Amino acid sequence: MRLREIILLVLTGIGSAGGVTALNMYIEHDIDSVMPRTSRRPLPRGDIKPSESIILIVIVISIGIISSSLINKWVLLTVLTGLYFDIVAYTELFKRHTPWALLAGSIAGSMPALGGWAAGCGCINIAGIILAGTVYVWQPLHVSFIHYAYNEDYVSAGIPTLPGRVGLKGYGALSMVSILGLIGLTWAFALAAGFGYATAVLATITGAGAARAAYRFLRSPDRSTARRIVKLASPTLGIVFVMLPIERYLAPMIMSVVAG
Amino acid sequence: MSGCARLEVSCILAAGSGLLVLLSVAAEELFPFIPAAVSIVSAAVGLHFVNNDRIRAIILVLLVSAWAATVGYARVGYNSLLISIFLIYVAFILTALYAGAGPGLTVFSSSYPSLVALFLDNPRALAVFSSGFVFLGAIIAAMLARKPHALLSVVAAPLPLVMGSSEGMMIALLSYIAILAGSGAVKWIGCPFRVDTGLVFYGFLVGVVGIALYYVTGGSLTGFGLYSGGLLLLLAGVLTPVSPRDNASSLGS
Repeated sequence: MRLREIILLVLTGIGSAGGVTALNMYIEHDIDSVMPRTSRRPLPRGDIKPSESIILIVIVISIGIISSSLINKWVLLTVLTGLYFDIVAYTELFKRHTPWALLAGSIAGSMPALGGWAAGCGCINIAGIILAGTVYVWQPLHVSFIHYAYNEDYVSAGIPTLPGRVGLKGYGALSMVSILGLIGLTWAFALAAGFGYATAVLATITGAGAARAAYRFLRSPDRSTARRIVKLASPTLGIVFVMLPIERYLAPMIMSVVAG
Repeated sequence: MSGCARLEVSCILAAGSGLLVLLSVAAEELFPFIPAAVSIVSAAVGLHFVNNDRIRAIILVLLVSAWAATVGYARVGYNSLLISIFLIYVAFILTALYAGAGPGLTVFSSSYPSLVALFLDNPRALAVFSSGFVFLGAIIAAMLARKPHALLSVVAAPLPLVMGSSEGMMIALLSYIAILAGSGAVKWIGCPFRVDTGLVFYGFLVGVVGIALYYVTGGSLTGFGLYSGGLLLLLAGVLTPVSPRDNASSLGS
């Protein structure tokens, strides 16, 4: 990847992820103001008027769209897909009606990974989709934990939550599926891409700790165990995105230096 | 007749006239006579809902003149079409002002068959025009709080660009039929959405810049991206959720 593409990709990330998140806050400022966790965001706190914020939001999103289109059509596709699934599908159509909205929202969350892959290889292939899948399976765990930790906030705002709908056993089962899915997908990626085996081994080790915490939670649910699941599962995802570039680029360079 | 029923009549006419246009385009020698005739019939039904007889007479004269000018295109050329466009839009504004949203949209939609004549020789321009026309219809519908119409128009708008003019036109027009089902569904399940005019406006702005760029640059990815982004912002503006506390009161509206 050349410097031009890297700069454009950074602008794409700031414009699309930042703009879409800001648009989400613009649309949800009515419920943000009644939830203590979100009541200190700029719109509910009155730091900026909604009519002023929308101008900035549109400019930032436009920057994301323009810069992505200057990389290639696949990156543009991921930006537009993220915009659709985060704003229209998740925030507007589903979030206020069903806790399973997170299945739609997670598609948006996985688009930055797919967009980065598309910028690098100039295509969307099975390895890129699996990589995005690792983010996809992690997201329900992350979001449903926030629902669990701040359940009273969501109830007061009238937003349905997964723990509220399926109970704590259901939340524990979802966490287990999410963690095992994350581990499985790191191995699937290594098989599809031909590299990433060391990453998969490390992800399996940390993921096993998270799976063990999820098993404990299923047997006796409590808030500290729930927090432990997230504390172990999130670094597992972090390992994937830190280790893969190292394994792909740095390790061969070191090997060649040592051999040379 | 209720506002919702008027909208449904408008949609049937728009869909029917659009499909006839496709047939007449296929039978080249009948163009633009069939579209003009179809447009007159569909607009006349829209005018049925105008209560003021004097206004109705003025609009009718304008529309008949407009379509006479459209038919004249076959013999005279583009100047008669420009006169037609001008007259149609004066009629649209008058209808919307004096008869309300439904009949106004009917007159607006009925102008589409005639205007297609402008772009027959240039498939790319026809695709851009078709897309832009449906997009403009979505803006007007959103501003008039015609939610199902706006929603389906937004979905249909990019199709002529993506799928080519003929297929895109076909789908865009078929979407008007889907509006019927949409209207019925909204009446049945309620409508927990409101229109955010700010988002609609900026979606429109980004979309117009995008479509202009797309046309000027000969189909650039940036133009298409901005146009699609504008459409998504517009869609978000039409589907803005009502506050959970107000949700119950909005059902059935």
